[in-house]
Amino acid sequence: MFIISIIAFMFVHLLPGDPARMIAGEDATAQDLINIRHQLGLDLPLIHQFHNFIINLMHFDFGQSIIVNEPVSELISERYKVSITLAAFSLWFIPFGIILGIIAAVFKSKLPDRFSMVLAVSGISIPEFWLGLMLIQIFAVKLGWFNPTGYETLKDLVLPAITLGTIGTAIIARFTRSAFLDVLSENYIQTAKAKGLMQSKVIVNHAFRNAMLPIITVIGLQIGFILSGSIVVETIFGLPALGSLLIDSVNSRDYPVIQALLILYSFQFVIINFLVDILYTLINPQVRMQ
Amino acid sequence: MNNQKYSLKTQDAIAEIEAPSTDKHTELSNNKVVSPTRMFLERFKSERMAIAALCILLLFIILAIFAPILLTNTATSVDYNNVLSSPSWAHWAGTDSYGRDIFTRLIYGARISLTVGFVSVSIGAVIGTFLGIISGYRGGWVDAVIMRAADVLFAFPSFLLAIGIVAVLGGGIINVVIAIAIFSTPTFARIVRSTTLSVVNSQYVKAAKTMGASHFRIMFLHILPSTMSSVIVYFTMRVGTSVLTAASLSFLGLGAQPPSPEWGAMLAASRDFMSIEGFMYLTVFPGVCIFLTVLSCNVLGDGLRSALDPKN
Repeated sequence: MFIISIIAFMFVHLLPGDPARMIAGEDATAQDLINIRHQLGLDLPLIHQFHNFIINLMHFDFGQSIIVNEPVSELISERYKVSITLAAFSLWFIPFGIILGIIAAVFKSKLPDRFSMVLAVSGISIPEFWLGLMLIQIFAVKLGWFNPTGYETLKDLVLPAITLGTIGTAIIARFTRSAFLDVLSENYIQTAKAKGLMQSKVIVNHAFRNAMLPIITVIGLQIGFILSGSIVVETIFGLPALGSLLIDSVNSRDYPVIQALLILYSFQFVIINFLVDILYTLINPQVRMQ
Repeated sequence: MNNQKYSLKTQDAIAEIEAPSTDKHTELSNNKVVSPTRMFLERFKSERMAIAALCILLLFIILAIFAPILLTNTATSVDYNNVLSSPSWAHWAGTDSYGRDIFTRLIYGARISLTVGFVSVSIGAVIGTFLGIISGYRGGWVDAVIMRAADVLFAFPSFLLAIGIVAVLGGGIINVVIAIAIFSTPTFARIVRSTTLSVVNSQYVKAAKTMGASHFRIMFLHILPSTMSSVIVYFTMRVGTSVLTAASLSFLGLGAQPPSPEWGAMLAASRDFMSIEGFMYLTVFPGVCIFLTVLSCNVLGDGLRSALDPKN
């Protein structure tokens, strides 16, 4: 995480363009610029700035936004709620993907398998911003079921959540299928079948837990990707969330905001991977032994 | 005739029983030694979906290369008499708000997207393969340094990394290529490293060492070919992903800039007419192009993998 902070810091300070000039406006005097730089601490040596940055980070203080003149932490926490709600809504892909994958594995090379794998491959290849635009045009503009953009009620998150979950569904369906196919050919499954257990029982009691391991890793990765994929989706649907804030601040070179967001996104990613590792040990005793 | 076939089959079966671990380069089939390329082609022929995908990609490539010969107008030629007209015989995919023919723009867009895809992933693949082989072959601190650097890049979600890099370098299509090349590199390095590790202690590498071959020769003449099959598969899929990433960045206004007929940029322009009914064609066609390209890359990659996999 320390390394991530360093990189985020470097990223932002490599950005071309002078924030002081942006704040001061076109007709600022040289003295104005110096004053503003001093106020922001931008005239200090880089190593000094970095020191301040790390100290503030410990206190969750990301400084002031250069453009909006609001504390970054406040700016972010407002929008973070929207992003988290959207991410939570998008989790529909987990059960849906797993069910699709199981169906495909059980009916291997038959029609349901073909069908769900076609869905899965298309789901991986579909550009999510295009999917979002199409959903808006069909369900919001043509049929008028939803608002095209903006965020007032939870209903406004339905289309974004569908868009965001599609890729996850596709990837999880594929992994579930191959994980199940691996497990279903194991000896203990053959034994269970030979004992005369019902197919549904074999799948739920014997195969599911063992096939879950690789699937959980993929789910973790996908949640990480949902958090970054939301950047595009939030922009399309005009949601007041983190992703659109990131794009705005990249365009307006709002240093502190970009810095804070890069760190936040990467922390989320690292934390999710960490949680996946913990879940792993809970599910598979073999990992705990090592 | 039947009899002969039968006997050939039994011979094969016997051969398999006698030599259960046939070397992948000299598999016995009809008692003839078949070259790996030939075997690959035989297997690939049965992957019908992959062949269809290859055809679509080739069609896109041919159209993109010969665009100036095939098309009468250019991507930026304007016709103010025909602004925002729906698809018709004159304009197969309609015209946009400046009266530019969308079909023409899509073909020119293919040039941009495919070039970005191939160039960026090629850069990433070459650098990544090079680093991966060195990392796996030398081991020690070289390996540690390269792999830790790769870990750091992996700590960021790839799309976020791309946005970060573009933010540092500024927008524009060349910077998108650089960004994609940077985040493709570590994955190639990892894949190649793991294959290198699996062959570095094999007989033929040891034999080459004993004969006094230089490190360079061993790495690039003996180890490199065995890493190629996984690199090719991953390369194909990665081209799809990078076309998608480039389009996303352009869509967000961080990649190709407006007059350029890049597919993502065209979709971004179509947003102005999003809330009015009847302009869906502005959105549909660029999206279908991206979708078909990425889909073809993925399907082709899948097909190549199962054709190259000796386990099948």
